[in-house]
Amino acid sequence: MRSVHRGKLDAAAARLGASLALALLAAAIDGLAHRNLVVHLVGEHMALVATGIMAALSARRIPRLQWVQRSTGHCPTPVALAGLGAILIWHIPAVFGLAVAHPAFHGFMHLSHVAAGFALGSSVPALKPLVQALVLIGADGLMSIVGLGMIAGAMRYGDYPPAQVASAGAAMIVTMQALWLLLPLGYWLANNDIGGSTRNVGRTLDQE
Amino acid sequence: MVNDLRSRRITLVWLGTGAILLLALALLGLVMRVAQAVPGLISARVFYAMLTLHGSGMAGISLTIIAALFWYLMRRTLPLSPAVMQAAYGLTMTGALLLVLAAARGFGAGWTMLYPLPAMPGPVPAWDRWAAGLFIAGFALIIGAFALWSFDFLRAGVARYGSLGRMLGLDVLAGTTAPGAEPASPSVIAGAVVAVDGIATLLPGTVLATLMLANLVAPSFVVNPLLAKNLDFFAGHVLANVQIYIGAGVAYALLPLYTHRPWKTGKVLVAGWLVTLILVMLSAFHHLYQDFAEPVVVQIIGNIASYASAFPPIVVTIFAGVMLVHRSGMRWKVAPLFLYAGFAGWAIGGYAAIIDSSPALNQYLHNTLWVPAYFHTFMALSVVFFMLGGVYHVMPELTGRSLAEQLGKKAAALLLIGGWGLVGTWFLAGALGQPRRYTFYLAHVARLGWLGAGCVLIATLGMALIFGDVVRVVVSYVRTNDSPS
Repeated sequence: MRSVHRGKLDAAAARLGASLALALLAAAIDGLAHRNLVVHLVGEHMALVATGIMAALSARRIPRLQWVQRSTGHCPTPVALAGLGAILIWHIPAVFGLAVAHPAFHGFMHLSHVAAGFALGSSVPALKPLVQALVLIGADGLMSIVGLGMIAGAMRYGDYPPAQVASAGAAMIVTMQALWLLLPLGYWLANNDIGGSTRNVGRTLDQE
Repeated sequence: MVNDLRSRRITLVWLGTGAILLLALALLGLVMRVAQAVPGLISARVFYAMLTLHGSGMAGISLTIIAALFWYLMRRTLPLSPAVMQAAYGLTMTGALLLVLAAARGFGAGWTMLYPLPAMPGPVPAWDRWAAGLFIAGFALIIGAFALWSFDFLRAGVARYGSLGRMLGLDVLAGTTAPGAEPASPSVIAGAVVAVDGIATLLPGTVLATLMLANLVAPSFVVNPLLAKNLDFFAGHVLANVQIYIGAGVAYALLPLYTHRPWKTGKVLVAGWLVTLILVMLSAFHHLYQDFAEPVVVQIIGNIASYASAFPPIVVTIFAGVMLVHRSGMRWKVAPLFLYAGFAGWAIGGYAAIIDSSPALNQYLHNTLWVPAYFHTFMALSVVFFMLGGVYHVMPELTGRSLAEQLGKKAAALLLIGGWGLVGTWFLAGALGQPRRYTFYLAHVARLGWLGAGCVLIATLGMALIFGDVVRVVVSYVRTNDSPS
């Protein structure tokens, strides 16, 4: 019963991920992203990372792709850190500016977001539960700093107007709280995949 | 057994030291109130140094003390580490010492100090760079102690429940709790939210402290003032708010023992705390209303998040707590009396805060006594009341002796009359335009200043009665060297 439920959830995640990726490739959204940093930084990037995460979670059910899960399962911490690093590096204004200025570099940036999402989706479920929690909370805290810096006008991105950068910072903080913190928790729980042993659940120390 | 004895001793030391510090800081408050009513009694420099010490001390020390009390209550549910609590105690006391030294050297930039005030006190410097450095380092140590607590709570909770998700009660929400397994209790869920929010805001707070210290050491290193303010209020807002959530955890753990009714983990409770987990951070944006240089969207988010953040506590904690007590036949001992009074402080202080978080009203109220009024309503009349309820409950366990019930009820009456009287004068003075952080009252509200000073005197008397009783019990315990029951 549970495996049927999980299979459906994974299939839904795969379809949603593919739809998101296709939607983002659409010229209208891509054009809007070039004009508006809120769409670019929050919508496109977060969605690309989410696409990667959903692809990785779905790949676990596809026999031909299960080697990916197995290989990342051996060393999940470096893979997760590499995924986080790949996302964070694009938030450095100079690096982002380069990507905006050069189309090929821009495409690489988008691909790297999907790859980072895939790395996170395939490695984080294999992390120890406490490390999972700290990765989620730590990334949330780090991105809050970036968002607060953008709101304050302390960071500039490409030729985007300062007001757009500030709004993108606010939107990023909201997105991080709503999506980053809650969605992974909800997905992993629905998959009964939130990690850790359940043998001690419900027992107090006095009962041991 | 040895660990349990160690836990009791650490808690007793925490509570004993905490009582001394809180009483001393309350006395500073009394002196300031009298000074406001009698202009010229103390110099402005001394007043602002006292104001800063009172604010930072109360915000930091009460956070760590209620966390220590909650730690003691949760130690049988979670494998919490006594060594971590000892380290947290050492950090807190060292931090408190640095705060006192900073005040002695005249540091008076306020506990929510804004860059570049610590390094640039004005044309006639009231403090030197050392004083500012001591203050920032001291406050950072106290927050470091809370960070240790948060990490240990998270570690212990994940070890017990298997994951952060189960610790937050998500399995209850999804209906996937394993047969025979008990879900996380409401206290654990509240503690998990506090730990997650505490760790998430530790990073912005650490960045701020580092930037400020770097600016003090090398004045040529310039920080973006708006970034510093954003980091300050993001971290400060969360750290001030989580105290009341720890208080809720204390109430969840203790109130059922007096009402003989369980406080169950239901879907509404879990959903409420999940919403709180996010909204406590987003509502920090209401501190940016007056920053015209920042985007309007920040004000909209702050407004929505502030309004929305009122609902979870009202529904899942305050209303549920009232229902737990209603017709339970509970005996009104001092512990549940303080816990119940804490709900009132939370509800009323929270409502006043919501009023101030409405941008149109904030335009008039933001820099008036209305702000300290609601802040003190939910800090002094809620967090401290939850703390006192906890102290009355755990003292017999810690020392084998009970605090005097009749004396406690008299003290509670004094605290309620004096406390509500004080914040009442502040709400009124704030609505009438009395600015906050003034050393004196404007002429048209001067009588409220006197009335407020009288109320503080009454509340301090109540606090002193409890303090005296705690000293009596601890001295008696130490003298007879009884082992705790």
